[in-house]
Amino acid sequence: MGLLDSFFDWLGFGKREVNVLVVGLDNSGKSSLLNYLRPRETQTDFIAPTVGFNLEHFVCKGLSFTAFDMSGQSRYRTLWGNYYRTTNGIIFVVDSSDKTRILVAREELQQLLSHPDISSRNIPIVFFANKMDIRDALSDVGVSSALGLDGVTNKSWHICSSNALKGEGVADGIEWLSSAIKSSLDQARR
Amino acid sequence: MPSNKREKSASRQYQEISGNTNENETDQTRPTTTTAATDTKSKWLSAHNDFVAGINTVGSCVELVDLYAEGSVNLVIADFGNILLMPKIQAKLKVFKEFSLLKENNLSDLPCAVVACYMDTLQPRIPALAVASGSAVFLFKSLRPYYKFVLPQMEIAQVEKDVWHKAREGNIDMRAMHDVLNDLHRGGTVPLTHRSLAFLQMTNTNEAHQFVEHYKTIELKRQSCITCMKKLNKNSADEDALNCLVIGTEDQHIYIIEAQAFTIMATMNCPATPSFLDVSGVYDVEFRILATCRNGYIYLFRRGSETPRNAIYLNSIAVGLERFGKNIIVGCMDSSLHCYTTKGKRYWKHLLPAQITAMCQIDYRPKGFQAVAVALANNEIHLYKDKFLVDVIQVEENIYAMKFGKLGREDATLVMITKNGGLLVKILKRTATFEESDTLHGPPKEQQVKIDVPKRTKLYVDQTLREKEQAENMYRIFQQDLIRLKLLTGKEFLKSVQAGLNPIAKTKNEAIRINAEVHGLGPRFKLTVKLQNTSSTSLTPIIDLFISFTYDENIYSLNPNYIEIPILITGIEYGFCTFVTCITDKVISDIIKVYVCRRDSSAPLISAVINMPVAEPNLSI
Ligand SMILES: Nc1nc2c(ncn2[C@@H]2O[C@H](COP(=O)(O)OP(=O)(O)OP(=O)(O)O)[C@@H](O)[C@H]2O)c(=O)[nH]1
Ligand SMILES: [Mg+2]
Repeated sequence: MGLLDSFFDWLGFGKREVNVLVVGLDNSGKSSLLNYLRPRETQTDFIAPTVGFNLEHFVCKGLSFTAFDMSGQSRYRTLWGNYYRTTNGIIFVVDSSDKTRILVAREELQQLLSHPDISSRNIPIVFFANKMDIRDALSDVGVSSALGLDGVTNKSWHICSSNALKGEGVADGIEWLSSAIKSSLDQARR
Repeated sequence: MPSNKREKSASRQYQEISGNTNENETDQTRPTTTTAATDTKSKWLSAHNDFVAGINTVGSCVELVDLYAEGSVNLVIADFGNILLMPKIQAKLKVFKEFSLLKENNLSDLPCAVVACYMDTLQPRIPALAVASGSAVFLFKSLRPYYKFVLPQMEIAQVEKDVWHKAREGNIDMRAMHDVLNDLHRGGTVPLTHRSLAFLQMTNTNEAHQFVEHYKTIELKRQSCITCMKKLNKNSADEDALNCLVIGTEDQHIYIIEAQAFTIMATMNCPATPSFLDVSGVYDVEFRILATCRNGYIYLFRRGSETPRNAIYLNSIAVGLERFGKNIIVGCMDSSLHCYTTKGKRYWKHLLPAQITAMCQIDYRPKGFQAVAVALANNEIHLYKDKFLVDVIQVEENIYAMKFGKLGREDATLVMITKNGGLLVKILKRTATFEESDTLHGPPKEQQVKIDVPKRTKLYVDQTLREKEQAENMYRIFQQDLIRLKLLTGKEFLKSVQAGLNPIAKTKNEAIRINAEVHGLGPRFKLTVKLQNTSSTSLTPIIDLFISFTYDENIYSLNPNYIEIPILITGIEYGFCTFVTCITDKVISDIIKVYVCRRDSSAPLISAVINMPVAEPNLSI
């Protein structure tokens, strides 16, 4: 961030640019969630499984977000690590109806947290316990305990249930992330 | 589903009782700290442990299939139910979504195999389930019974037919009936129907009478039983192409059945009853069927031939059969695992630490990982990649059925059914790697390490050239020297034997060991000669020996200098002493030779040379 930019920020002009990484297993609803955050006219009804990654933009609480919508398929999961260094926050989407793979999600989270680019920094993480509308889906508390979030003590995190198709819970989580990123940026500046 | 909830809580109780730390219920109220996912060393995530699922089945009755073509794979199990309640049959076809029961259908007989197959060309590709049980294959479409295929009738002996025909006409003579059927059975040439066999087993006349009364009007049939079933692609190698079914039967046949109209397209004669099948290829083009049989053979059938092409003899009976390309991996009852080529050549054999309870193939395409999993009676699952043991999974109970494949949306899951009816699911970690090195079997890894050979020097090149040119000469010289050395050694040996110089004397039947010690500081020493008769062939003692000494009489005087040895008994060590006095004033020492001789021979039997120490001067006070 250039000197001029920070000056503008200090004045409250313009919007701060931040990067967030959207990760989670395939089919968890990452692309759907970002689709919901788009302006209404550009939203699509049909979302194909992501290949590699896609870039999305949205604005929240005076921050301009660039979201890296990563593919969750196991063969693309190694890509996640390339973006850890530059990210300001992480959105971790979990399919709370997929009980078979909740442990796989936990394993991937464990890998993410132990990555040197993540473990050394205080990056806020928001968890979406997505697909809460599906019968038999785990609650946010259930997902939190299945992922072992109690053990995550050196990061600020937040979990909320969501329905990426209808948008329930999405705004809530994104707002938390915005303020968490803001405060972490302020902290870093000081 | 309330019943399922109950089962889950019960399973948690079970685990608490057994003190099991592998608690992995993905349940809302589950404590998080005890998950096995923290076990970082294991290559597997324990996704589900339900020890009271109450499933009783074998590997061929477990199938993983996307029943609704929605990208999420269901687990299908043909459950035997509680076989202790036989003859009441509780067999069920169970379909699971996630880990909870989605639907179940009753089966009329014990199942032996479940196969998911495509039997139409409609889109989306929704597979049907074929369940082989008894003498029929039941087809389920969308989990509803759809078609029943029955094995062809078999011939019945005319005599047997007549017996039952007579019974139908009313003149039932139990005794005569029994005798005729019994003779037929004893004769062994014609197999009887199940009905006649059941009749012969009856001991109670009343019961037998009722039996005949009940069955006499029903048409007499003889049908075989299905022992195994697999699917074969009909006209294309695509994964979702039309299938046909391959069925092995008790009466030693293999049938290929078209799954659209249920006609038998091909029949093969197997020399024995097949127990496991492996099918590859495409029916219309070329296919191979491998069948392990109850006589301990594996037979290979190919398109267009009714009889087997090849036969491989196993030393034991097969308990599992998997194929990777041209390699056949077969587990046997004598807890051995073999790898053969389809031509019958054996690549390797491993003796496993315990009996095999289940086998399955692991084919994880995204990583190109192929292995065979072998569950053992010591609660371990061994993974063999080629001949290398690459992983050992510990489980809590004996595994009776296993299947690897896609479950739900996860590509690499291993579904296991335990002896006591538990359902376990493990997921292969994305980061897991299997090293082909193996300390148990095969050459060590170091053998593959290339040695860093230094550059060839001029000297080396010259030397090799010379060796090339002069090879014959060199060889001859070497041989000459070698022979000369041998001759020299022989000569010396002969000399020492003749002179009795070596410390162990060996004549034809006498062996004596000598050992001499010098005690004291001087000028007076004590010399002890120890002799032992070491001959092991004869136990007769050696008699008539004596010891004498040679020495410089200017330096030493010995008393006595001649010792009689009356007898040497085998094994016992004798000590003979003499006193040596140094009689010179000079500070010198010399040697003393000890000879053990026979009275009747001039050459000593054995001798020893003693280096005497320098004597202290005589201090006379
Ligand atoms: N019922 C329900 N379905 C959802 C929800 N969110 C997403 N889905 C569905 O889940 C499927 C997968 O969604 P995607 O957004 O493509 O998932 P993804 O995480 O981007 O998957 P990859 O790109 O393969 O990593 C789609 O069919 C969505 O319609 C939800 O909240 N409820
Ligand atoms: Mg996507």
